[in-house]
Amino acid sequence: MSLIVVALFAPRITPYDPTYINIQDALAAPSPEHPLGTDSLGRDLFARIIYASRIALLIGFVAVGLAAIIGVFFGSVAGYFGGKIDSIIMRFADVMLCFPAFFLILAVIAVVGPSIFNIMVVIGLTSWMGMARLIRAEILSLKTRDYISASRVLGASNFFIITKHLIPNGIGPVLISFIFGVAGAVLTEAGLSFIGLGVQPPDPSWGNILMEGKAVMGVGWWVILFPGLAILITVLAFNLLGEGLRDALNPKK
Amino acid sequence: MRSTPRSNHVGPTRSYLVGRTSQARQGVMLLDVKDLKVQFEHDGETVKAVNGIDFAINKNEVLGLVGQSGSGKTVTALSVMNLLPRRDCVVCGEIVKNSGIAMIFQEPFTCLNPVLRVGEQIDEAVLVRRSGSGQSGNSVSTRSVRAETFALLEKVKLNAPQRIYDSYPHLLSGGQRQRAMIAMALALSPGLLIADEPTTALDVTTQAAILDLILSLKKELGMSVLFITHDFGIINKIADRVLVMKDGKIVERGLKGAVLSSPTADYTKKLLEAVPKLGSTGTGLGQTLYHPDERPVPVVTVRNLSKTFVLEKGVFKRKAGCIEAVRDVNFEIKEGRTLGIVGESGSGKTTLAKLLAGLLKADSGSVGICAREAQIVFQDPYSSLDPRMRMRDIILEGPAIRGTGKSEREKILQKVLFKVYLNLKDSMKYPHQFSGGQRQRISLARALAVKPRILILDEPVSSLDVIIQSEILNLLKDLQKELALTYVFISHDLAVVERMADDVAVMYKGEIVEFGSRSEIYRSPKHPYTKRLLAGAL
Repeated sequence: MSLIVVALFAPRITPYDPTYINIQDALAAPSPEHPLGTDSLGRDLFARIIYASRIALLIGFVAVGLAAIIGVFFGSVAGYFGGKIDSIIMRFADVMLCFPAFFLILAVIAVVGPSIFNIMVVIGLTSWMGMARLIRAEILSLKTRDYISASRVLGASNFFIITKHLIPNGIGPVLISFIFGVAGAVLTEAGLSFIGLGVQPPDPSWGNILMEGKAVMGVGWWVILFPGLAILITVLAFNLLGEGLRDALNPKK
Repeated sequence: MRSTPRSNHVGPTRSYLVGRTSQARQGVMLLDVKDLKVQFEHDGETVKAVNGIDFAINKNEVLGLVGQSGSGKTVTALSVMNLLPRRDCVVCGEIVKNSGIAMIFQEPFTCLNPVLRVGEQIDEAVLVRRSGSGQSGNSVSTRSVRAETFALLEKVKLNAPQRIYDSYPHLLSGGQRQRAMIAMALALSPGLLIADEPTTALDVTTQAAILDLILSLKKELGMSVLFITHDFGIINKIADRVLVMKDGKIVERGLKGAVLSSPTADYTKKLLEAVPKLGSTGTGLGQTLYHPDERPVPVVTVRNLSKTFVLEKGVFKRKAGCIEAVRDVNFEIKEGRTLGIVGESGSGKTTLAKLLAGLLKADSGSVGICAREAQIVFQDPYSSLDPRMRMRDIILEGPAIRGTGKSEREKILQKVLFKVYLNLKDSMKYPHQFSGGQRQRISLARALAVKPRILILDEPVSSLDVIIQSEILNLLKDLQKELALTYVFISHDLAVVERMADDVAVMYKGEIVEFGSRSEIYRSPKHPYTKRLLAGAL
């Protein structure tokens, strides 16, 4: 799993610039010089995929991180205060959940324009609801524990109780959901880029490499195989990581 | 994993009705256990839960099995019933059963299936017996099964059997559920009933009634009972013979009278000494006053305090009714004294504690306590400490909230730990690394760290074993003397309250029905409810 992190921090492992165009080498098959071949504009595919992983992971972590911050904030406020505040926040979350997420993202991107920053923000703003629900449920059960009462008798403020007691104890499921969320965000980004509303060329993204490769599928199979594999491996890795984390955090183990 | 030649897994029997084989061997012995050993394998470690015990139960007797939690009582019962998980435990020894055995458990709240009517669950047990005793094959008529269930419900003195039959478990009280459980056990017409702490979760008056029921059923049906408990009071009332268990071994056995009056094993003596007994505390009132010279000032004044909870029903939050948890309560406590509040569960004790601590807002009336001067210690040592905080951070939470400086906090920590006899070396540990008694000390230390004048103790020792309970009570007394603390001591245990309190308030359905000095309440109770409570106590 840490392979991904290595890829993230060592894009210098490839000698090529991912946007350097070399028409003479266009659509070269995998060779020692270009281990995964080149695309229709002669750009080194290995370099493009490695660089694209940076973007994919950046989007994944930042977008889901944003979602987690929003989700934990709304979820803990809703769970802790209950009553009207809870109803308003959770009904809002329900409304958000009603939209098919991908199309909502599409619509917003179509309006605000595609860029890496916009994609991160939009994914973040449309995927916090699950985490809000998780932390709210945790807090609902945690807030009746005696140590919360004890803390209140000691004079703790609501903010203190939420940040010092409730969130640390309730964050487990959110962490797991965070990891699964990253996998989801990577897929969403690839999808957006594939239909041209994600990362814009010449910046590499697994999605837009795939889209470009689609046109030359007949001649250059490598152009779509390798980015596809990259997506598969990344998503699988995050899902396995999440699975492992879930086992590790299971109190019964 | 080594198995002795005598190892015997007691056949493919039903889990709660165990075979009636080998009837001939010993005429009167219903159960004969020889050299029973149970080991649990856990993470490569072996825990010997039961370590070579022998005992037998004769016809028509009550055998009491006492011991603290973790002594192997329940494991013994479960291995007799063949209910232990096969996967990670090894059972060796010989268990000979000469009769059907049925079992009732401690928690009447989790033992009944919440989605089935109580009656159907008893029907099920009746059917199990009938199909087991050769009447199977031909369809048993529903009516006859139901008639038998009704008879059983009457036998366990549940009035209005039709209503009980049609009720779901949550509609019944704890005592009623335990009676239903007993009816279910009787449906198997067992020769031996194993009762595993069947009254621990119940109030004193209910407990007394259930014990009476078990005794009368024993007489009526000629059953034997293996009664597991940690409470010597119950043993005194119900048992003929006693086994005392410690760390998986039987340390003492004998007739009840002999064991209770002249125990031979040191452990039994220690246990018996730790048991708080009614009427065992000193006589006068004056001796527990710590400031005999000064005229003590009331530090807690409660006037006309009431709290009502509104029950809401359905989607539209319709008001479905209300519970008056605390109704028009008045009292005051003078400095350095202890007010004991007794009552059954649901009498409003905990609500009162929360009102005093400022955790709930009163509907009317007033609580005269300076907010920062009162701290609270809760019953459950497991949920009262944040599992993700280190012991030192838990204790220093109060000072940290109040912005006490770092070096000052260190001093407070040392001082408080010294007071409650905890080791400074353990201050980086997490709550799960401490035992129940230690956790309760941590709770106490947390409260003391902010130098309160009043401590509200909500059943602080109810979930602890007797020996630890007695340690904590002594600690509380010493602290009171040393720091001139005022206690509000809430408990359902009359003996514990008698040991701690100067004044006693008896709560019943949200009201204080009787208030007086300890000797008044315990010697000459006036209110009928107080009389009933005292009569129910063992």
